[in-house]
Amino acid sequence: MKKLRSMSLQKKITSNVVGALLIVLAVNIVMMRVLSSINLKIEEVYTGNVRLNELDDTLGSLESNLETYVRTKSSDAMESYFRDEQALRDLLGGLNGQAVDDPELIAEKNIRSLSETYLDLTAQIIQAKRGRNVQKYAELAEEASALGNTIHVYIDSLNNERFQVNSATFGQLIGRWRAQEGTLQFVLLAVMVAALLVVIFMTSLIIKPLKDLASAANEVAAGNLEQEALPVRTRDEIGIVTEAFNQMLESIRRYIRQIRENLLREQELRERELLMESHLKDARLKYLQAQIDPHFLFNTLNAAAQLAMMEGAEKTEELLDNTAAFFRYNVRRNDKDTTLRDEVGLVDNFIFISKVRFGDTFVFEKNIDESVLNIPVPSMMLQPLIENSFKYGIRDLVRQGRIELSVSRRDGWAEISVWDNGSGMTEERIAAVLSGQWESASDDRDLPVSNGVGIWNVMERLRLYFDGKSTFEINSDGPGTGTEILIRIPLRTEEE
Amino acid sequence: MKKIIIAGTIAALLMLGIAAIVFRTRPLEDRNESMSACDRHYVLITNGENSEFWDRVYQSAKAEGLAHNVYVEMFGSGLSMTYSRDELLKIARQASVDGIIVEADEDATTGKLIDEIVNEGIPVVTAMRDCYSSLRQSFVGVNHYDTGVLYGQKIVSLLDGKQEARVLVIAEGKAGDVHENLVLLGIRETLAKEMPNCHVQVDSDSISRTSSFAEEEYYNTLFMGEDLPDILICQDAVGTICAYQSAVDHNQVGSVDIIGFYDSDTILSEVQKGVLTATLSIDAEQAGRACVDALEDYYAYGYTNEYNALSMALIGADRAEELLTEEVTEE
Repeated sequence: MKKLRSMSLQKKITSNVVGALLIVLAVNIVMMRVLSSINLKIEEVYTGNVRLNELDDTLGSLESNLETYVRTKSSDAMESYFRDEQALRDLLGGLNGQAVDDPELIAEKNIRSLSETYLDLTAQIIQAKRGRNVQKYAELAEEASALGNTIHVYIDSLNNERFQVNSATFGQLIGRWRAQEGTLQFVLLAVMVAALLVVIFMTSLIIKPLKDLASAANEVAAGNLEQEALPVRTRDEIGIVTEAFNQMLESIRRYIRQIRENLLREQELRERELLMESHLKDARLKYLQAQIDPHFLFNTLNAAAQLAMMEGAEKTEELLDNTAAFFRYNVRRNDKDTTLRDEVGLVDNFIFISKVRFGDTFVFEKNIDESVLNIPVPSMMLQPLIENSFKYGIRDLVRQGRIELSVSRRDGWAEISVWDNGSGMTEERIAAVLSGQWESASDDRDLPVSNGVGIWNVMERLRLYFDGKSTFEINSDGPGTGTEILIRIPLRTEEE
Repeated sequence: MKKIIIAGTIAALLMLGIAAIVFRTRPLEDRNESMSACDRHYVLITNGENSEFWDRVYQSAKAEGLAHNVYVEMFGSGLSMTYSRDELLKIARQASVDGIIVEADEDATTGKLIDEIVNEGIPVVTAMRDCYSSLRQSFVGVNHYDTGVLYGQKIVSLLDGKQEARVLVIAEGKAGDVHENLVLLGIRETLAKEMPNCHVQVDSDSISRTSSFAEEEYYNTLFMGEDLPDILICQDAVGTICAYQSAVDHNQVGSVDIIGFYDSDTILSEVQKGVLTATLSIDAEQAGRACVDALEDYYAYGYTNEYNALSMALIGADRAEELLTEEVTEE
């Protein structure tokens, strides 16, 4: 059984078919032998009669040749006589010569003994003929003739007796042949059915694991991965495929578990990060709120501007107006969309305040293409970049600092460039700033005003706002060579 | 379990198929298997009469022969040609049989043939009728004088004091044969002794068996004639049947007392009915056994008893009824 299980599929199917064929073949051989044995018996039935007829004929021929010889002393007759004598002796050798408890065989014995006596007589006749003893061979010939007739009678009688017996046997054999025909047909049919059942049974045994496998594969295709492993009963190709299927199913389940766990872990991490960010922003807001009430500051600044106007201090009034405008923008537009025009206005306010504070230590120039000023942009986009140029670019310069803002249209893009001639940036630092790993200090007290928004923050908001279609570059040839921040915004967005 | 049942069913089906073939293909019974080799081959030759009596003798001899591992053949039966006793004796000699049982008589040719056969080393036993002058080894039969005495006693009882009567004895062989003479001597002496002054005429006649229906013709002629005997004695079974049938045919039952031969059912039945007055019964089985035993003794010792007597009895109506009743009971 173990050996059968470890057989290959090809061997199993082959042995199955060969087994069925062998069964049918064996039965056919048995059937053929049966029919052949009956045929042989039918052939044998009249063999005895044929043999006796042959004996009778040979005896007749011998008698005839003897008579011819006695009459003519012919050499040919003599030769034929001896030939017949030998033939007769050969035939007599096939007859029973023993005393047995059987009338037919006793009759054979009588025929044989009488024939041998007859042959002795004929030999004496020939001897007497050669010796010219007429009286003796005449007497012997008469006796031989009577004995020959007796032998013929015995042969005929036995032949008749045997024919009657053989006829009965022949009838019996024919009857058996007919009965056998029916039996053999039934047996052949039964064996064919049995062989068919064997083939069906064995095939179902071979095919069943394959059906189970197909059913399980359908279940998997339908999405049902939670099923029990298929039993592996054999070591053939189907057994191997079943085992591989079981392993594959187990692997798929394991991978799905791992992916699910990873997703959960990532989600958990993200939630934690968002929570931290939210807490931080909340803290900052509360901090700013705790520092000053902006409306109180605007009102105060407005009151101071009116006072300066009444006192005729125009410069002071202008400073206070710009400062008030700067903070108002911060408060109102910090979380809303705005236009490039408003952003440029905010930069003007910031520059005015910075000029009052730092005097002519720097020069600000702007080159604006008015046709692109109406495009919507996220608020607080330009001012942090100008503030950044102050903070890291020109603040520590011995020579006069220079900041240039240009807004232009080029090939369907709006190009916004903030350039300074300040301390410049190394490539590492540019990379760090672009990747968000480097944050400017938002609480720099030396700056006139600061909204605490860094370059990375601007860059991220632009990316989100323009759905990743805007570009943000920081160009610098190294320390002391100045820095340019170049933003390119697709004008198509504006048209849309 | 299910698989084992299915496999078992298929196997059983196959076994049934094979068994059916084997069962239906049993070889034909070989006739030769039931036979056995014998040491010797004896033949029984009768005087051409294939009667029930001789058939019983043969069956008994055959059974006795098989007990001694000898096959006894009813010689000449089953042949397409009928041979006379002497021809059969000659053929038996030419066939080199091992022993011959023959119903002989005092015929010179027969005696000469027996002598030749004996001289060739084949033992010969005569049965029922002897060839005393020959070299035969033994004779198995009844004492003919005693048979005559038995008949005589029966005749005396039948005459019942009647002083005149005619008795006709039909000889089995030739008239004037030694056996017939002995039988007649026995009858006459008994009558002379029992009825010294009576005038009972005891005649003897023989049937010339020129054809197989000679006996029937003889008895028919006898009963047609006016010279019917008072008592008719038949010494063979076929003659007995012919005699009582002729008596019936010619309405002579009762006018002639017929003493028959042999105790077959037919004859006993006629005795019981009174058609036959009595019948002489000789033990056929004993005769068959004695013939084979005589030949076996000769082979065993080189000689044997020259005469083996058989027992005999006259059966009347009462005894015939008893015997027939016994047979019915046995059946």
